[in-house]
Amino acid sequence: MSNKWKVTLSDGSVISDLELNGNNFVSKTPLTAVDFDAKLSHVIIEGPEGENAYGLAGEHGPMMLAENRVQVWPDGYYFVLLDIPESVLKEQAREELITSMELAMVEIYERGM
Amino acid sequence: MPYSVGLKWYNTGTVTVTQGSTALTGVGTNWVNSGIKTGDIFTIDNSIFYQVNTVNSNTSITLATAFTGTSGSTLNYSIIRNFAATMQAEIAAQVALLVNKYETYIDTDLKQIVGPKGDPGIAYRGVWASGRTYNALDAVDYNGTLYLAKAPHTSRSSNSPAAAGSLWMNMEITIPPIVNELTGSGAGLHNSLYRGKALGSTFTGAQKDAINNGTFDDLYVGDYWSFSNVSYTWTDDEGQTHNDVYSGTFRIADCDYYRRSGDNVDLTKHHLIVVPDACMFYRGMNATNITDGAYVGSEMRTKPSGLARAKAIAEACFGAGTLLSHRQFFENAVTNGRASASAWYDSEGDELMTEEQIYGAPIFDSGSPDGVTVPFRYTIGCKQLNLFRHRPDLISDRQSFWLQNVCSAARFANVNNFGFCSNGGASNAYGVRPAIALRKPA
Repeated sequence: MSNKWKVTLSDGSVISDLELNGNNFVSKTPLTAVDFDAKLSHVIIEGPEGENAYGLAGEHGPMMLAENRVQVWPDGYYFVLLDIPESVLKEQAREELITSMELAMVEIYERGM
Repeated sequence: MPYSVGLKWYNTGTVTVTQGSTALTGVGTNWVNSGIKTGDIFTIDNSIFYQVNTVNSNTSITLATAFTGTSGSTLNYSIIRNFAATMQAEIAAQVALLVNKYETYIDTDLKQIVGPKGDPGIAYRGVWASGRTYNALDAVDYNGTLYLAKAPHTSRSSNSPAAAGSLWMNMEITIPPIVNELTGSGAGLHNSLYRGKALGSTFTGAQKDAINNGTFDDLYVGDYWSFSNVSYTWTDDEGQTHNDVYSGTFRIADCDYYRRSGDNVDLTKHHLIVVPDACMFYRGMNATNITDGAYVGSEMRTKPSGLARAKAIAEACFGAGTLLSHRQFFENAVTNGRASASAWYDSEGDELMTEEQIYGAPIFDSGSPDGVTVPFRYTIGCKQLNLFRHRPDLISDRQSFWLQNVCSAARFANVNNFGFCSNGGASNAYGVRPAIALRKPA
């Protein structure tokens, strides 16, 4: 029975053969933060059968890469995926809406000119 | 000897008597009030005696028979009290019988129930001296110690109590430390008691063995080693080597604190946790006020001028190989000002303490940042060190020193120099006061 974890990102790319240390995934294959950019809107995490340490296994909505970086340690490349809380998502959506409205108003203004 | 009741004649006053008459008249007499009674005996000349028939008053008596002598007045007389047949006579007679009875019992019966004479006991002879004759069971004081003679002999300097075990028994009783008699040895007992004994300036073989076998004999929380001008070498962040000296005290804080922890290895090695009484040196957690990477990613932990320097000091004091290498669970990422990740790392036996190790609970590094997210701060440094449980006054050394815990995106926890729990910007140069895990070298 495998004790490895697998992460499928929203673009379908897969990072596999991962070990879990605490809530850090550890990859022997080099990784950087770029590997996760814009690919965390929908994440599927699969662990060893029956294993669901820290509630990681399963389908996740938008996630974030902790500290937006991959840490390099002697035994591998560590990264942490965190669920973005609903409250944060709502705030982000609100800010995006405001930004969109501001841009729209600017455009209208410029057209009017 | 039978007990005898003494008789007292009454002869107060004088009397008038008439030949042939039974009347007796007194002058200055007090016959009724003095208890003269019927049956008492009256006489003028101590040769002829008349019985008192009635006592009419203090000055009038009627005799039982008529007076036969020559009549006269203001005559001296005597009345002899006759106790026979009175209550007093009866009681006196019974008392006399009882006394006679118990005198007989004491003289004969009691002696028969008394056992044989017992063996001789210990005789204290004072300070021992040469040239004396000592018997068996003689006790002497020899240089402040009590000795008991086993056999009779004449003392000489060559057979003094300290020199002649065949003749003398040392009566000094050695009581093992009572603490060892309570529940035996081990971490449980030795963590329960604060002693605070000076252990010297050397980590001895006996101490290492006591740790290694888990007995912790003669090692208790609060006991301490004191080191003076111990030379050590450390490297700064630019690679420069420095030769310094360290003077300070390391105090036992706990026994087997980390035992049975670890992810891939079950730590069963017995060990001691020691904490310096004062900060070893001063340094920031990071060069700037950030907490990225949390404790394990801090410059305090990753740079040579940080905990590596503390390790050099500890090994210079206790010896090479005395720090316990083991696995620890450390925070390693911060999100929105809270620890968001933890992982197992190798520890070299010297680590900053946690809020829990100091206070028994997290202070600033606790609680959810948004009421939904659980801070990911799993640690094996989650129990208060017994040193601070017994002596919370030893938490503060009047210098602010760092703790592991992340408090925000910019601040780590510390103990403030005024003794209160606090936190500070990561770049502040606060004290480094780590908990050192000691073991017997392999």
